[in-house]
Parts: sequence; C-alpha cells; structure tokens
Amino acid sequence: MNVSVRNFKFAIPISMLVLGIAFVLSLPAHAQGPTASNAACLVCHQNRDLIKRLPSGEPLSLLIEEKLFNDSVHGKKNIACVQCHTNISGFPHPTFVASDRRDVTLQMYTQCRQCHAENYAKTLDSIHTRAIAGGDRNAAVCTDCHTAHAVTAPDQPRSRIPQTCSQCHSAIYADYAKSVHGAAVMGNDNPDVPTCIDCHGVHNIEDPRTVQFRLQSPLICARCHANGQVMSKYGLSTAVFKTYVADFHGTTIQLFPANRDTPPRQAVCFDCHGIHDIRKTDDPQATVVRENLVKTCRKCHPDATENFPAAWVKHYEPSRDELPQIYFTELFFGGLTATVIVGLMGHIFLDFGRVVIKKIMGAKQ
Amino acid sequence: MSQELYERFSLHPRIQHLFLFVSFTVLAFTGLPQKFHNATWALWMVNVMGGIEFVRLVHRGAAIVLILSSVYHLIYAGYLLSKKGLRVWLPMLPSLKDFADVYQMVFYFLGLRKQKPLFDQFTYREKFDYWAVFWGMVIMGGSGLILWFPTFATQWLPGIIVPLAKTAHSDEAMLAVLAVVLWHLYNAHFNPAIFPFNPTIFTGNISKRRMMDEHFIEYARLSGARLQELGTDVEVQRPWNIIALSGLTGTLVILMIGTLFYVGFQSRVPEVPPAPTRVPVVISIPPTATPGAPGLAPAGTPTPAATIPVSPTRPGTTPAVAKEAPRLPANHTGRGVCQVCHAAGVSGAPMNPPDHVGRLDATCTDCHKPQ
Repeated sequence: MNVSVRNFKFAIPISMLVLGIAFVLSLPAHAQGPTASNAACLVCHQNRDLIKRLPSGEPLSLLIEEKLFNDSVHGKKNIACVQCHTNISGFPHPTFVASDRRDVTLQMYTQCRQCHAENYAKTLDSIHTRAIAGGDRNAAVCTDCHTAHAVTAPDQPRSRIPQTCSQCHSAIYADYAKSVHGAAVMGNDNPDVPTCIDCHGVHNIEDPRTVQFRLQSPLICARCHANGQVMSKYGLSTAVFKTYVADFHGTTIQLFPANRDTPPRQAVCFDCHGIHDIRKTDDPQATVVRENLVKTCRKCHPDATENFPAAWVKHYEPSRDELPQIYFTELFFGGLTATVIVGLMGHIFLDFGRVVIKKIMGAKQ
Repeated sequence: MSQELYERFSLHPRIQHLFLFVSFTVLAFTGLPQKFHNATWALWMVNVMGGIEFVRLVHRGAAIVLILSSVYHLIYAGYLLSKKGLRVWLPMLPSLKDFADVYQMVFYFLGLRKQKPLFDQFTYREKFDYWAVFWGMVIMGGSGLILWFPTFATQWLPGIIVPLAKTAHSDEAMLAVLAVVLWHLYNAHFNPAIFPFNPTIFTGNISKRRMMDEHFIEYARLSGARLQELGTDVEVQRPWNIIALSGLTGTLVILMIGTLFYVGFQSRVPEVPPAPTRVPVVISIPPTATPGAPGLAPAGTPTPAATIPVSPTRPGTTPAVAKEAPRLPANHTGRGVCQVCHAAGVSGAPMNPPDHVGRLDATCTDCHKPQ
C-alpha cells in the first residue's frame, strides 16, 4: 500500500508531462505559430512590377496581395508561404521552369495534397483528373475552384458553388440558373435545393455519362425527393421514387445489371424532367407539364399518340380519388386472389385431413 | 401389373398441356422477379438469368408460345365442335351437379358422408382448372400485349389502359402462380391418391382403378355397367405411404411460409433508400458586404472593409466600386479564363490596366458584369 501511494505522488505530474509533450508533438505544423518568413517573402512579392514573361509570351505576375492572403482561410491560420512553396528557403530561389501560365498551375496544385490528402485523393478518381491525364490541360485542378492564394470557404454563400463551376461549365450553369433548383439557390441561398455538388459530388466528381451514373441517378433525386422533412416544406410528394420504381421504366433501371457497357434505354428521372433545367411540374415550360408531355414521350416513343401520355400515372399512388380505375382493379384482384386461394387451400386441407384420419382409424382397427 | 387402360386425352390436348406447362414455367420464372423488383432475390435472379433485357426477351418469347398454343387449343376446340357437335363441349361446362359435388365432397372430407360423389368425365376440380386457365389466358395475354405494345394500344384505347393492364397482369400472375404452386401441385403430385405423379396428361391414359374412383359415371357409361350395381363399392384403398405424407406436409409448410413471405414483401421491403440526415446550413448575410468570392478588393480601393457582393441578385448590398467597370461584351457570356487573352492582349483584346496585374480570373466578373 505504502509503496503504491509513494509512486502515485509522481504519477500525475509525470503523466501530465507525457501527455503535454505528446500534445505538442501531435500539433499540425501550421499550428506552431506564425512564421516570420511571410514578411520576408512580401518584401519582393508585394512589388507590382514583379512580372515574369513565360516562354509562351504570357506574363506571370509574382505579386501577392497581402490583404487577400491574410483574409484567406490560410492567412487567418498564419500558414507560411514556404509551407506550400516547399522548395524555397531563401534567395535566390531554385530554378522554376514553366512553359505557360497553365503549366505553372499544373506544377503547383499538387502541393495542396500535403495538408488536404483526403480530398486530394478523392480528386484522383474524378473526371477532371482523368481529363488532365488524357491530355486536357484545362480540366479543373484544386486551385481553379479554390484559387491559389485567396482561398475562402467555397460554399459561403451557397450560391457561390454553382458560380465556381460556371467558370468552365457556363452553358450548364445558364440552364441551371433558370431551373427550379438553380433559381432558389441563386435567388435566396435556399439550403434545401441541390447545387452542382449535391448531385455530382465535390472532389470525386464522376463522369455523369456512364451506365453506372445513369443507373444510380434516381437514387440521387430520391435523396431529397423521398425525404419527407424536405418535401413537406414545399408540399411535394415523397412517393415519386416509390412510384417510379414500381413502373416499367423504374423497374428496369432497378433490375438492370450494373456491369453493362450499354446504358439502359428506359427513362430515368432526368430524361423526362430535364437534367439541369428542371422546372416545376406546373411551369408552362416544363417538359412534363400536360401540354409538353407528348413531345417528351416521343423522345423515346416516336409513334406515341395524344392518348399515350395518360398511360403515365404521374407518380400518383392509386386511391379512391386518384386513379380509381386502378385502385378498384387492384381491389378486385386482391379479393379474387384471396377468395380463390382460401377456397383451394381449404379443399386441400380437408382432402388431406380425411386421408390422415382414415389412416389413423384404419391403424387402430 | 397389367391394367386395363382408358384413353382420357387425345394427342392434341396433351401437346397443348405440354406447351402450357413449359411456357407457364418460363413466364413465371422470368415474370416474378419483375413483379418483386424491390426484393434482393429479384435482382439476383435477373442477373443469374442474364440481365433484365434478356429476361424480358425470354418472357415475351414464352408468351408467344403460350398465345400460339392457346390459339391452337381454340382451333382444336372449334374443330371438335364442328365435327362432333355440342356434346364434346357440354362435359366441360359448369353444371349444377358440380356445385352439388363440391357440397358432397366437403361432407365426405368431414366424415359426414361415407362415399365421395360419383363424377362424370370431368370433375369440378378439372373444370375449375380449365376455366381458371381460360380466364387467366384472356387477362394475361390481353394485358401482356398492351404492355408489350403500349403506343400501338393507345392509338385506339385511352392511355389509362396501360397502367390498368400492368395492374391486371401483375395481380393475375400472382393468382395464377399461387393456384399452380398450391392447388395444381397438390392435385397432380402430392395428393395421396396420386403421389408421386399423375401421368395421365402426358400419356393420355388412365387406369381402370382410377377411372372407377374418379370418373365412375363415365366408366359406367363406357363399360355398360349399371350404376346401381357398382355404385356402393367404388371406394378403393389408395396405395400411399409415409413418404407421401411427410413430403406433402413439408411442401405445405414451405408454401405457407412462402405465402407469408409474399404478404410480408408487399409491406416490408423498403422502397425508398434511407435518406441521409441533412443539416440545413444557415447562412448569415451581412447587410452591406459579403465575404464571399476571393480577391474582390480592387487594388485601388482604400478601405479594407469594402468588398463587392457575390451575386448581383442579392438584395441589400451595394457595390463598393466608385466607377462602374466596363461591362463584358455579349459574346463573352460564360467565358471564365480572362487572362488567357487580356494579360497579353491576344487577338487585340484590351490589355489589363497596370493595377490589374495579378488579379485572378475568378474575380474579373465581380466588377465587369455580364450584360
């Protein structure tokens, strides 16, 4: 007992010391306080005339606006210039060779990986990175969306997300901004409607033209449109996904093998409702409003007549009020099946029971 | 044991049954996973059978076989009628005796009657089976063709006929499969009087013993015997054994469980993917300035607080630039890489003013608004 008490006297201070050391060691590099070197860099890099001319003829300004950087997420955390520009430790700098401005970006952006390894790893699977690997130098890299030195929260406000994507995908943005989703987010930063990244992902943006994406796309829409909490705010039905997969189109998509090269021909949500230009279903310009529906059906059913759109039950679940014809047909077959099966099973059990009883009686005799 | 045999089915009905048997089985196996598309076993089955599109192809192929064999049957029935008159049809039509037979049969099952009723050429069970298939063929064939050719069908019929056909096709299919699996399998295989297998529909022949037991009136008519003489001694002991008993019990239990599962699938399979929890993001918008897009402050703007609203549509914000920057030409809509031209003056593009050097592409449109 005495021994342990004596030992415990030191146990607490020692363990606190150990924990303290461990804590300091575990701190990320940039939390160890500001480095003085930023000021050193800015001695030269505040100079507006510091412009290099690249072999392509393009000028490359080496100006860093101090305020811009200090207001950025990195500036606020006192990240030092040399934490990204890792090869620079003094002057003169090591030689940096770049053919043009894009080449500078493509050489530098991988520095983000040092701290943002997880998001960087995600981008490796993205269509942008694959496009670069395929030779498209203009495909987006980290700094194209986030900027290099003026990085601020990319989703503040939310409408900034589509604007970021629109730098390259301007035609799609034009469609999106007119859509029911786009208008809500660009107009008043509605937190419920999807921006680009809610459907396409953020860093691991996949190719939306694949069979896989097409097969999964109804689930993307269902994330919100089958969610009662979100839909109740707007008086929208949550049965849209359920009724879709219950119909011929949706059943096919649901049962379609995921490993095919040819995409399913059956319609998914965006084939009828539009991809980026989705409008309210009662919008006169909507592809699914009654006046335009035949035209939409004819995209896949070219010989559809005016009767044909009524074959689509508009995501309604049959009830007495909506689609009574189908409701009562279901009721009829339900009653018929129950009656017939109960009758037949009763007959079978009676028949078999008689045989069993006779056997037992016969054995007793 | 040599037995006196009676011909019960000629070649044509036997062929028709064979076609029905094969095509029905194929249709059930290719159709059920489409009905229960939400179940995991459905996807598994479809993939095992070669994918949904191939399954549909097979389903429609089997449907053609079944429709053609139905047509074959109708032609055959019409031929019999023209050749032999109504007397070939009458034994197949439901009669008052059938209802009396059901009534007496139930009494017999309950031990309230010593003997089964005496049946003619077709018992009420066989008539039920025949007309159930007849009804089923009309419903399934008709609705199936509408589903196969929806645009063709709606050239004359209202559009609602398509979802109606789908409902009927799906529900009647369930009835047909249940009737075959429960009722037909019992009558043709697991009935202790039959077990393990009633070969009559394939061989066309029936033994004298079964003829006397199951179709006594017809037997008496054919053999010239008098009902009064034979009628009291027709109940023949059936050869059956413990295998039949256990086999039947097991099958019935499995079928019952299957039925319960069916009922369960109707209500329990989640049809909507689990919705991820969504936390609404509350975005506070300062009344005059938005710390939004990067690099907003032009070099010439003296006050550090002066920033420029991100979106021109945002209310309550005022641009902090004193003089409006030149607007973008109309043909510049959507361009996002300003410096490619304007840094060096490519193709006569106006060069950036000296104080613009180093500004980022992403910031140009903060001042230079589109038209």
